[in-house]
Amino acid sequence: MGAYCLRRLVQIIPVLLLMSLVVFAAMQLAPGDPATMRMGRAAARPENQEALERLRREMGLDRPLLVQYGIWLTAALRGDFGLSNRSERPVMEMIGARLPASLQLMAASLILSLLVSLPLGVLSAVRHRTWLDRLVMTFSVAGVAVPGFWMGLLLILIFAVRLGWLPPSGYVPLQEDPVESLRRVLLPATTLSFYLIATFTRFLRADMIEVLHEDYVRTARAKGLARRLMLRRHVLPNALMPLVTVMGLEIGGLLGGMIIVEQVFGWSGVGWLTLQGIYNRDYPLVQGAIVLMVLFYAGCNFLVDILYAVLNPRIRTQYAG
Amino acid sequence: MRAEGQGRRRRLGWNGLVGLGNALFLAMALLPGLIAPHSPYEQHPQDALQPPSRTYPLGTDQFGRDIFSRLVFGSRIAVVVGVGSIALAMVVGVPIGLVAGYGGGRLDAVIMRLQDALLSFPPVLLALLIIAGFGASTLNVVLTIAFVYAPRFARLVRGSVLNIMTREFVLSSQAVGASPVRLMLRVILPNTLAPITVQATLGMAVAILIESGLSYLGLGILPPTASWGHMLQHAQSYIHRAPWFVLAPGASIFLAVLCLNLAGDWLREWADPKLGAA
Repeated sequence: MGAYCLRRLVQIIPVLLLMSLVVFAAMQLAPGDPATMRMGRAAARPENQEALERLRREMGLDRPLLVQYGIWLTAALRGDFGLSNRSERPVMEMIGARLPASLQLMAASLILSLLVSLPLGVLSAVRHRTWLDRLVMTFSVAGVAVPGFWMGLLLILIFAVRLGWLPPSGYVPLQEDPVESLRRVLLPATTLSFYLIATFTRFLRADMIEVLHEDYVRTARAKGLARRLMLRRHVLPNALMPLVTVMGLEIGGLLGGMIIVEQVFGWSGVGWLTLQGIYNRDYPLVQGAIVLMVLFYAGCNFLVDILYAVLNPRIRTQYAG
Repeated sequence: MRAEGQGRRRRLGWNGLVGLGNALFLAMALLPGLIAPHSPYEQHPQDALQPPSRTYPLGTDQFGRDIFSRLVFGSRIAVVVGVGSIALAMVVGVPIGLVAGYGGGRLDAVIMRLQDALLSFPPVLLALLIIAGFGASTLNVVLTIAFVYAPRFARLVRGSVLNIMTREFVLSSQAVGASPVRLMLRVILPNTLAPITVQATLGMAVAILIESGLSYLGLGILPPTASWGHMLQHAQSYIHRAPWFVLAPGASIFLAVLCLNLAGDWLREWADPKLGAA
């Protein structure tokens, strides 16, 4: 088991290094150098040219790009993504302050989508080829085609503007006012979970149908095992395994969706902060936020792989001994 | 027998509808002037934020521009971005996948690592990163989505090539002395076309979703060009005064993406009937 973890970890490292290179390179494409950005409007004045040059040297901008990348990377490995162009505060600190909001939103979306998609997937597989199954499938085909931000706007229109039940936007920390915080997370989490519900349901249904045709299920049925017990003991555990992988992959979609949905609902999390960074040309902030989000995504998939091996004896024994 | 025939006819009707939907979007994009009653740019300040009426079928926006006409012209952007970015991604990704799969060895290993790195980004995140560097414009949106999608084509083609290379008809062409280029282009490539077509169709749907998302954030298509996503950005500001403004642009995105997804599913089933069993 340890050997398997180590092997997967070693495989990830070159991918992450290249990923960091892509993030670094993308920010080099941007017009204007970081020193000019840091000084803002003052950089254009002729009397400030000397100070600008000094700042450039200080920030290491006069050195070759590859050296700059090395410096950036070693600092990043220590968790230092530099200072924001705008606030001159450490990027890590700014992201850390927004982290609880995003984690709350992601957790709420995942919980909500599992609560809905598990029963839906099981029901439509058990009632395969009935009107219920068709209804669920229609919903899941439609669900992946709805743009997330439009879904958010529709929910605002119905539940905030028309009915006035819920606030249209804003974030309240959970520890400050738990009830209000949950009320506010409801609409953005529903928006984000819509796509997840559609995807999870479709996969779970397909896996369930496949497992229901397995020999061991036929045996369980033949020996007269109660239907509920059979579903819970033999079918569901086997059908849930592929879903774990799908969940890991969908974290990527969730992160992308989160950035847009945070903007729709004015939910001041990491996605919202990233967008402010893009609007303000605050490149250190954008670099830091994107690297951390990709790391989070890679970490989730790593955990999923490990979990999969733990749950699946076939993979586990392959690396045992 | 009879039930089966009916089932097929019903499916045919459904597929016909999907085909019609796609054709309609293409027609709107090619000849918007014939369908739109007004110019998408002409402003009527005295008619700003009007509800749907006979003159303005879907109402007007904050400058008094006809929403329906802007939707029709917006389909042009969706088609340009969808087709343009995916075509570009194919032009770049397919040869890379072909060479990596056929060549193997160190070249393949290098290409695969780079591709893994690009695929380790969630698509929207990579698109945002590149747009943040390049700046927003229609061309940059097309380039960005092509960049996001090219590795997906490369991976798909490489997989198919590895699979096909072991088949007898490839081995026999090799045995009679076909050159590597001929093998790649005349023997292997035609046999990977089916999965490429499926991926391209589904990719166009993703491209339209990414474009509309970027445009909604103000990082995609720049005004005054009509884009469905950008219209929704304004619609949100006037959601209290003009709730109808929110409905139509989003519905257009949804329908276009739905039609492309269904067409992709249909193509996949058609290319590999085994998949359609469940």
